[in-house]
Amino acid sequence: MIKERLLSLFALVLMFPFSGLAGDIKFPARDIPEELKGDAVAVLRLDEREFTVLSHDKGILKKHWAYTVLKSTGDDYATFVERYDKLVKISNIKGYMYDANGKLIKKLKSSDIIDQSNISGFSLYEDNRIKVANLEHHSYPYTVEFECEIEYIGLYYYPIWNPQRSRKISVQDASITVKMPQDLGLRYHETNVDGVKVSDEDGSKVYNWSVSNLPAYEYEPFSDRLAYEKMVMLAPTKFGIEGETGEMSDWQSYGKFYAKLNSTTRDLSESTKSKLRDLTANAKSEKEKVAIIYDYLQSKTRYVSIQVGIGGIKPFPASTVDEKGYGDCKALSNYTKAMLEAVGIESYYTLVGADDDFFPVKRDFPADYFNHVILCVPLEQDTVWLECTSQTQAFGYMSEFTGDRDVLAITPEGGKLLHTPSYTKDVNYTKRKAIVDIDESGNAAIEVSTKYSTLQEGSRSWICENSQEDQKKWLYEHIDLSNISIEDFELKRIKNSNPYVDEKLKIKAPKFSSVSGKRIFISPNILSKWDYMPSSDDDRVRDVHLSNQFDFVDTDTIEFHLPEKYHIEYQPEPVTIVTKFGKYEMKIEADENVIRYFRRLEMNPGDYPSDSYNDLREFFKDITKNDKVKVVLVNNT
Amino acid sequence: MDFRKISHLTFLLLLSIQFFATAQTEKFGKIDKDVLEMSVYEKDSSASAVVLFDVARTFFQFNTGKGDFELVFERHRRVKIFNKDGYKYADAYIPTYDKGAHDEEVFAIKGYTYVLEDGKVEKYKLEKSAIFKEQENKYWNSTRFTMPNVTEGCVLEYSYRITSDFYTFLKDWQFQEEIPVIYSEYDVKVPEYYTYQKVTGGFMPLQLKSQNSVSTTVGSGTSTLTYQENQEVWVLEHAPAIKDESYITTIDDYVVNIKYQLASFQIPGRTYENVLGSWEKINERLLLDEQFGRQVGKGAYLKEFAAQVLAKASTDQEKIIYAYEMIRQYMSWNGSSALYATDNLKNAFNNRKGNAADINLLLTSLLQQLDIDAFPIALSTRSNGKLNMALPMIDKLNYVICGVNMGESTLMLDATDRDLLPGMLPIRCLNWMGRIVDKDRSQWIDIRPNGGLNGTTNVFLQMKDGKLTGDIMSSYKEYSSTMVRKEITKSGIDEMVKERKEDLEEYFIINDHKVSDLEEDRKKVDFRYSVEAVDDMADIFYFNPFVEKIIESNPFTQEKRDYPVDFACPIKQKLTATLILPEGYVVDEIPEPAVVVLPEEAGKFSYQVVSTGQTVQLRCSFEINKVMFLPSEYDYLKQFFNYVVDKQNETIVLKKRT
Repeated sequence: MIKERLLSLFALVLMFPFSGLAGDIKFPARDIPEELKGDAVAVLRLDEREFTVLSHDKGILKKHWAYTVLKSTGDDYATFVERYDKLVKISNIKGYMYDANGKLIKKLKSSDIIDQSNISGFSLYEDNRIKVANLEHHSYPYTVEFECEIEYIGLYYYPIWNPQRSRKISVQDASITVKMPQDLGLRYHETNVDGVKVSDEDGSKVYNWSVSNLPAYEYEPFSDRLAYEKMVMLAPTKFGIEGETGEMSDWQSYGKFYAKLNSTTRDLSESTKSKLRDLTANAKSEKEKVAIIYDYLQSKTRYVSIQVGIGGIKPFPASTVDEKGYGDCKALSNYTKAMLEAVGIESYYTLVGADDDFFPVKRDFPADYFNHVILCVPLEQDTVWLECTSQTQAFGYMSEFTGDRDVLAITPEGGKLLHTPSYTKDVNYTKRKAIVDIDESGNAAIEVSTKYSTLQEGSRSWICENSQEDQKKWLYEHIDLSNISIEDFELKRIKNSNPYVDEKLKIKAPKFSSVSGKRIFISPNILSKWDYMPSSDDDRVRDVHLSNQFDFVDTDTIEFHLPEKYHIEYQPEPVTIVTKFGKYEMKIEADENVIRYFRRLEMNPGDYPSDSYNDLREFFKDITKNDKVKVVLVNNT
Repeated sequence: MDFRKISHLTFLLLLSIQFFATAQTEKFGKIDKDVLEMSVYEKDSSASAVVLFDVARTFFQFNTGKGDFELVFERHRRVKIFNKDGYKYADAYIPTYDKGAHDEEVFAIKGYTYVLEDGKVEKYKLEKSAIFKEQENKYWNSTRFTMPNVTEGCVLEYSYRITSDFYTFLKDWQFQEEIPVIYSEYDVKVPEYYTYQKVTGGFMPLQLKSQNSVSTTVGSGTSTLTYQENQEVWVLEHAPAIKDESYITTIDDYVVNIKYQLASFQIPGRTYENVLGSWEKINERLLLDEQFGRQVGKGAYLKEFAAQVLAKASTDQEKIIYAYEMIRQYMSWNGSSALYATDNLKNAFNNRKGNAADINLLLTSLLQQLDIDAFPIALSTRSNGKLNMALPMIDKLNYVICGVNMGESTLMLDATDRDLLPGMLPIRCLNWMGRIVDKDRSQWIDIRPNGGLNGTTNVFLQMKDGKLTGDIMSSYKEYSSTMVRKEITKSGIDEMVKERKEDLEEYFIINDHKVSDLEEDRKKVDFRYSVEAVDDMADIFYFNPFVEKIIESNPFTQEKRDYPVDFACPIKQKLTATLILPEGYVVDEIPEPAVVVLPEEAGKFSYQVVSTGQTVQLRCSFEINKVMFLPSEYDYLKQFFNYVVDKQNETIVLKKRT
């Protein structure tokens, strides 16, 4: 018994030979487990966060972390960056730098901390600033340790805990502790993390999560990042910001907060209201009225982002937008709502997570998932969705920016989850028809007409808004045929809730087909060659995720008129490839002096098991190869 | 002192000048209806907006509070917006410098948006609430504002004033923008005590509208001071929109602009001081600068390095090479171009990281400590624009390399790049001229590319076991070697081989590969791949030997070109292919041989193919020997590239003997 105890004490001393003696040896690189080194650029040795909620509108987050930087590409992790604004204060910043053996070599001085503006590129003004401190060293490995305290004056967001912030870093130990007063409930949602420890401590409820030994990992294309990331989302029940309070436990009450916040912001003047009523007086339907108002909005306003304090969540008054002609997504959506109200049409101010890296809403966990605002107009026949920040977007179209996702509509009864329109194969397609006249020298005269519908519009949707000259330049850069001259063209966008671009081209393509001696080589796929090939991967871990942008059908029908006296020496066999990811068809029919090329590609979005990754690659490879086939003509004489 | 009187007098004087200078412009707050009715700019119908006028002036004002001159910059600008694409011109951003006791400040921002509403001109004022001031960081502030009620067809007008304590440089003025400018004017008035060096740039000539000398008096009673001021007014009318193009140094080399730098000053009662009026002066200034000359050659911290070099090297040549290697292995470059050291060279050395000046001044110092005749060479990088030899401007220099006197010639070294051969400079430095900074040798030096893009591919294929098999060998030299080495450093050889496999996978399987030892032969990188065709050979076999394309696609797709094409360095690409015909196959058709040569051998393409017995051999070479092509040469350059792209798509046809 005594012997055992002695032994364990001895072991303890052995394990921490320096901490007792030298006192300043910290995070020596040799203590990093081998499996965490691998491809990592840095290792998060320790990350402790303590979030103390003091009341519904006050909290403090204490952070303490240390990175060991293994190579120069990990130098970014040696920099301290924390943002702050009127409602967020940073204090007690401390920083230390250690060499590979854990010997302290530098302490951060307050003069090393740089304070600078952090206005986003899309904003005119924000009160957003950052404090930055750099402890880069260039003898690898080295370790940096930082501490700071962040005070939230107003609590609306609770921090998200995602200990492995990048796939390039390994995590040795990370934890978060949340201390809640007894009268406030904490809500949380765990993804790939479990084992919350709950305890009581000095009258507060304490929650704790921790993870350890997460190695860095390889990038895998077509994977759903959020499905794999370890994460705990935290959210308040009752919250408060700048004197406004709200309840987030259910969507309905969460929405009520916004309803109340915005209740005083739709203050259009009587003269504006009557002007709007005059504008819409002759409209034959409610929908037409909405279209007129949307058109008016697009001609009168533009997007200008100014974010200060609670202005981050509360729109400017409608009267301000009316007067100045600009606003951000909140202000412009609110303004549109006010205008519709003036002509007797109800609409919902709607919160959305925009762009393609948006965070999907977890329906059973109400929280702030949103970074953008749109407007939902529930009409009797159908619902119209409006993007109010664009001066050119099609009426009722959500695009890939806000389409196909759950959104929070603020109705008079409170918040309600709705789903924005999705763009599936029936509307998401490219249809191309072309006639190509080829002469004996291989020169071609090409007439193409292509319809690019909804998501397949791509950048053409905004090119259509540019001048003819810019459109022409753009076409020269983007038509994948060498040495062409564009004789004539037309780009027209039809703007409705499923918009499309009609593109008509008349092109001269000298040496379109290469001629060697008596032969002419024709590449029949003139404008839709597949050229995307993700890298090969023999130990794929994650499932294959084809997003909804892959819900499309592309068809090409091309007729080639051949010069006289030539006959076909070689023509590829028809091809049909059916996989779970999609279907590819290609066939070539030949007549006297005419070749008809037909190609159809249909893709199926969805999630597929990880081991099908190489099948997906194989499918892409087959498409690539078949898109490059050639028809060979030979001179009869 | 009664200053009102004097300012009144000055005001009168100014007024008369102002009247003359702004004859082309209009009074603030007043607008003609026609401008609002204008629906398109006739000279450029594609313009989303047009600058109607942009008028600025810089003058010196005696600040009684400070007892010194201060600089005043005033700007008055009017922009017509045609469509939504032009809305961005409603936002303004004014950066100002703040060095504590000395700073720049923005005043008197005024603005109106003019809109035609039901045939009537309405004007909306820029409110204070739409103006934001922000401290960007320790040295820079910004003022941002946006104009109200911007709609298609509106006209925006704003003006502001900046006062400044910094007069080594006057505010630059750009007469051209991304949208057309109908009238742009810069009026500069300088007291006789100061002489400024000016440099103009761009592709259109500036017009000197007037040049005067005016008399100004400040102070009152007996303590007045009267002096002459030299005024010049520069104008550019109907400037077309500036559009960026690929293969240029920087668009700034083509935008019409003017810059002023203090050359000398002579305050009454004091001696004449030449500040930066000549390249020799700039040389002196740099030699005395704490972050430049003062530190070069010094430093006990380099002693250990010097000793290590001496222990290994026996000749000067070896000393240079070892020192160069040591510095570039030891120091990593932070990616910044710089004329000045970050602070102390010793700190950079201890941090093992620094900007271009830190690293190359360290190299120069080490070489000097080894008794090598080394000196800094200051230059302007390609993205910073060309140097004008006739106009000494310290501000145009933004980079330092190290020069070594080798008797007949000068060896130029840049230790920011670990993959260059000694004597080769990074592409960013290849901008024609550099300036030697040295006590006795302040002079120009030519900076010419010492090497080019240089790649050779040899393909050898024959029939084996019913499949086409063989080797593909690619060899990269000079700048191509540098680029490949960087890629290897970034992603590793395995990743590069994997990518190559993926490139070829439709046609070939790579069975084996070999990469030359990067350290053993630093002059090149060789890749050898053993390949096997994926498909069996058909009875008629169409074969394209360009497994590695000489040019992927023609980079010149546009119909016209506004600026010269600048390749930075020459290009040399070669491909040879040998195909041993399988048993029973004959050549049915081979492409025609061809040679195309551009005037003065500026470009050369040769395509030779012969078939003898069972062997087909192709030799193809492509050269660009001239670095810069004028817009007038664009057309044939484009056609030349087209020809090469077409020719490399041609096919050899083999047929099974029947």
